[in-house]
Amino acid sequence: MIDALPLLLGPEGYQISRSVRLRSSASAYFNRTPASASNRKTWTWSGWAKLGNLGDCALFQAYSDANNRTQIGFGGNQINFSNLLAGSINARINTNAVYRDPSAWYHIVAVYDSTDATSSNRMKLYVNGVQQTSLLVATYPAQNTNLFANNNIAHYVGRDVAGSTFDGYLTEINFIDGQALTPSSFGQNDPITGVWQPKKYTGTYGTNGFYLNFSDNSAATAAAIGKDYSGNGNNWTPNNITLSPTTSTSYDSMLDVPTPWADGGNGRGNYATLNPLSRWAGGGSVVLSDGNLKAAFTNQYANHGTIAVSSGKYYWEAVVTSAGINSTGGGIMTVEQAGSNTSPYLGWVLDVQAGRNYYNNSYTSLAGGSFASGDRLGVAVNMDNGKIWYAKNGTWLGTSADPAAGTGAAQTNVNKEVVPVFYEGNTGFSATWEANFGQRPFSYTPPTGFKALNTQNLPDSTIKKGGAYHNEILWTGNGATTRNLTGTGFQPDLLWIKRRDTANSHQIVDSGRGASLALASDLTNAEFASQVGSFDSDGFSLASAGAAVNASGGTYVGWQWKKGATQGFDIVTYTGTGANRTVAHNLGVAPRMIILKSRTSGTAQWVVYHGSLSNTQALYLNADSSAATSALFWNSTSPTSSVFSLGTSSDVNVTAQNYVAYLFAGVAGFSKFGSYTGNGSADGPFVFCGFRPRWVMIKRTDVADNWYLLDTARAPSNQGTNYLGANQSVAEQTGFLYDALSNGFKLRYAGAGANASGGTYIFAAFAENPFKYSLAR
Amino acid sequence: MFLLNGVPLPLDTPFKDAAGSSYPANWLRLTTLEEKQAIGITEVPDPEPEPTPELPSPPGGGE
Repeated sequence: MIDALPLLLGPEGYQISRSVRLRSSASAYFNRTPASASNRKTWTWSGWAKLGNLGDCALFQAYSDANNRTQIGFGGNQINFSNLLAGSINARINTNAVYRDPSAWYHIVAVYDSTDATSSNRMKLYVNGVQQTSLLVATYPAQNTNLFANNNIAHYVGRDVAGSTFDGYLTEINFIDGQALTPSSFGQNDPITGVWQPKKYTGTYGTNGFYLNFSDNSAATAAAIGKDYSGNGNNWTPNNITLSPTTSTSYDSMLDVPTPWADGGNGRGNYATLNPLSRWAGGGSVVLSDGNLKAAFTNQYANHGTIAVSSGKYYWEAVVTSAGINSTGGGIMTVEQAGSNTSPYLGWVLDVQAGRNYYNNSYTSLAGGSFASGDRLGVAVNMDNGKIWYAKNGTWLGTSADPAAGTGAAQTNVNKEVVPVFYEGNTGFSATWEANFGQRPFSYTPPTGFKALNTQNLPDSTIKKGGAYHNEILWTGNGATTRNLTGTGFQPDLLWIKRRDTANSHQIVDSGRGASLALASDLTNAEFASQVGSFDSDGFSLASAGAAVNASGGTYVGWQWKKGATQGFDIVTYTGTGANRTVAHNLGVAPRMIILKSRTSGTAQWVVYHGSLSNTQALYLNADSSAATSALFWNSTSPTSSVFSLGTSSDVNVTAQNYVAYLFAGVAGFSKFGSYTGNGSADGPFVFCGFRPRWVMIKRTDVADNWYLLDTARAPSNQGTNYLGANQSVAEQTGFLYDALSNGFKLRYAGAGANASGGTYIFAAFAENPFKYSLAR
Repeated sequence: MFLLNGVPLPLDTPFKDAAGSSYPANWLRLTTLEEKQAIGITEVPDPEPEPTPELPSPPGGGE
């Protein structure tokens, strides 16, 4: 069928209708050889890509021979744009940033204009609308150099002739012959979320220009799936792309597109795939392929899905193939389990060897649940009533099992945030699972009311732009005694400043106590005169040239939060009583993290409650110590939607002492306060947040280690490395390797502070945007 | 956590009460406990976190 062409639909914006999946395993690609050369000095390539295999590959290549070619692609997860002439590189730029986020879409634009008098303007790369100016390699061509691209030689989409084919999803590819454009010709920032969005290109294309949107999936031909919609008729020939039958696991026309929109069916948007970054490595291995919809497990291994859910009804399918099915299956796990290298048997899974219906390492048997190679597992999850069902080849398993009617569920206790999982659970065995979350046609009709797992079908977030309530700004001190700092986007109620370039204590001020009074998170000191002047409508002012905030040449970061129930942040001041008590708050829901400090005492510690610890435990923000245990912190009582409880600890509730408490409740798509367990590997835990994080704080709880403060203002691209310590006055340091991603963060080193094997960690994180709207990072 | 008719009520998600009245996604955050109780919502403490054990070998095993 031919989908309706994308339309501009007002506030909902431009909607891309389909993508094509290129399977590297099938050596899939498109090719075209222009009849004649055109402008080889000036052109623009724009395309949207969602990564499957994270290996080296080409998105676009013009190929004369191995020593003479132009290429835009990935190498070492970095994006490169290069030209090889007679075996030597005569033009190349290569990003420093790495791009290895397989959970969402990237918009990539490469611009070539060798006519420009300024060499650095001759080659440009943009990712998600932002020019990449931090370059690992920058070899700019001589003025008026011709590249091979746009010559009358073979051109490829998704293929490096001398290397690997691209694995993943592509759509909305524009090639503009003879013009050097900017990303604004192809995209724009959404006015509500601020996220970069696709926009219909409306300009001219030039002789060899083309526009591929892969919307015609009627045939695997140049006139259909490879059709050029520019009006030039520069169709591209598909190679090894399967479009029939539609229920084949090899079917390559996908509803997986960069932005969510309702199509009256499964919904279109960013679909779940298996996540190569999130796995249980029980000692085995996996080969993920086919846009991360196919997982070949050997021995004990599992991969999780890229989308987690905590409400709504969802359905997905997967085919298992194995020479001898043994201890393999699929289902769901909590995101905490997924981030803690946990066996899938501790989640909710159907082990299809003998129909074992597992929860928390115990099982009952489901009649008919023994699968043979080629059988198809269906999973229906109703997160609104905590139920999960399993189907074999379209028949729901269990007595009166009917997800639509809500009867006969395999399990009825699913009440946490969960992700899909598929696994092989036994040493010496292998199994391959090919998943379908709805991006291609299901083999069986989903139960009534159950939806495909994509961003369109995720609940809408009450906070669509995290920067409306939490932001950070960077500045360099100028030595002035007064200074206004703007750009926050709101009037902050909590401001946390840290000098980056040299050692200096933190400075924390809040609207509850007034801007003139500070505390330092690395000290137990009582409240002292701050160097902040005021909280303003778009930031704050400084009132000192002091070293903590505005020394000439000093570099600083200011993290800011706005209080309110919607965003789950409150500031409470109280006076100690010396007796067990409660203190009221205004969050409307129970806080997940409380940070409090005596304003009076110069020895009382900063005390932190975290919902991933028990109500008899606390951490000290000013210290690296492990979690302390005492009933005196919280009177062994968890906080509620209206109060938090205090015992009689000298740190939290001394008679007549004044205190301030910062209370945080997790808000879906905006903030999260959770935990994970380290795996001791540079391929560390993936921590699902449900948003693209802007700010993360991590603390090890089982043994002593520092508090690590990370943010994307100081690490604007991956991988991040620089950190500050909440309990430390020292300058910013490097070596805390991590990626901030569209749906969480991934630890990239095995340091004890973040990822010791078996180490337990808590974190707090705040969003740039909910995952529903986020692009890959 | 909040319960409605004995079922956990996810935060940040629209819901309906027993009478069929609809409530927006942020309603739970913007109301007092008394207002919640008035439509039948009860509050119970979140379960205390428990360490998740890692299994040394597959519990499913072979048949």
